[in-house]
Amino acid sequence: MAGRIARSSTSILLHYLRNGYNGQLLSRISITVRRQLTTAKKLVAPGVSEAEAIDRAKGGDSECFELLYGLHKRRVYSLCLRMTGNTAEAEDLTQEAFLQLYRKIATFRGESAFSTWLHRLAVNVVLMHLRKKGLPEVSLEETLEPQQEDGPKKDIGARDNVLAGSIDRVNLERAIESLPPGYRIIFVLHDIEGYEHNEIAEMMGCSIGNSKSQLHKARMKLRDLLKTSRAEKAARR
Amino acid sequence: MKPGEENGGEEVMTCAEFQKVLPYIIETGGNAEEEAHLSACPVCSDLVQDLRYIAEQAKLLLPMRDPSPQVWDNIQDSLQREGLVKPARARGRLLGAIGKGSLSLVTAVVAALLVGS
Repeated sequence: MAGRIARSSTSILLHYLRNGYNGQLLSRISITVRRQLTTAKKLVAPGVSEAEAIDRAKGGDSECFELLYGLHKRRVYSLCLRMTGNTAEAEDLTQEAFLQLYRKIATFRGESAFSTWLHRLAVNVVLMHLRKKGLPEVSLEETLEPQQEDGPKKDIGARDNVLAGSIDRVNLERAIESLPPGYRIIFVLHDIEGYEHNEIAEMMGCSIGNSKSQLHKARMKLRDLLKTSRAEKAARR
Repeated sequence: MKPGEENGGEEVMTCAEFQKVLPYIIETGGNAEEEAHLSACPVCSDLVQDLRYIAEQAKLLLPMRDPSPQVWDNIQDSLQREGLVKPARARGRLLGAIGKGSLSLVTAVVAALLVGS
């Protein structure tokens, strides 16, 4: 395990050296190393670390697989729920993600943290599902040229109070849920899950510029939604 | 700021021009002209502040809640239907492993007591 961590950290550090100083990248290095060390040590049952549970699940041990499910179900489900905005769909996709995990866990080589690998698998399951439904392609194109009533409003000339300190987690979750699917997916992947634009572009089959543009529009739309919700709340008082 | 508006005799960037390049400014920071607009224009300054605030708050969002227990039941059913799991054997192996740990602990305690006496 220590060897795997060293190999993975070395590859990230080489990337860092090739690309020069980047604060975000440095913080990712630290998070990756910390996660991998945690995976190696964390006990998921008496005397069983997560790394051991993974190894045993690779050999078909269903009880260890259940331990891994217990450990990761919340984050995988939340990812599915945020990406789809639908409870029933999110449960079906969580189920599908863990079934795929069971079938593919033997291919986990430990080059990234297990949770990173699993979440990438879950994202792919959700994207595949949305692609079958025809959602991302349609929404992606639609949101590139947003309809007047759907897209973020231009904010030229009007001044209002800033949002800082006025939104809570519940409001933000609700606003994210109300985003059009194309905006929501990119926002969840980038701002919540921490994927980079190049990773999103690869997963979504779009350009990096498209991913950046979608993210900006998503944040602008969220700002509108949060301001509207704040104004409605103030009017009710 | 409107097109053609001047700041100290120099024509400055308009809000529309600034907001057109905003995604890049948020990601990589602006050049001198964009920074000058940002410090002079409260509307664009509020906008940048809000967008950064939204991104920061999103990073703090935690996983929401667990899926219903039905999800695990369905997973088990599917795996058993596909013949991928043999629950009894797997359970035995894990319990065996934990049992081995307990046996080591008991042995250690007994040894310590014997040495102590």
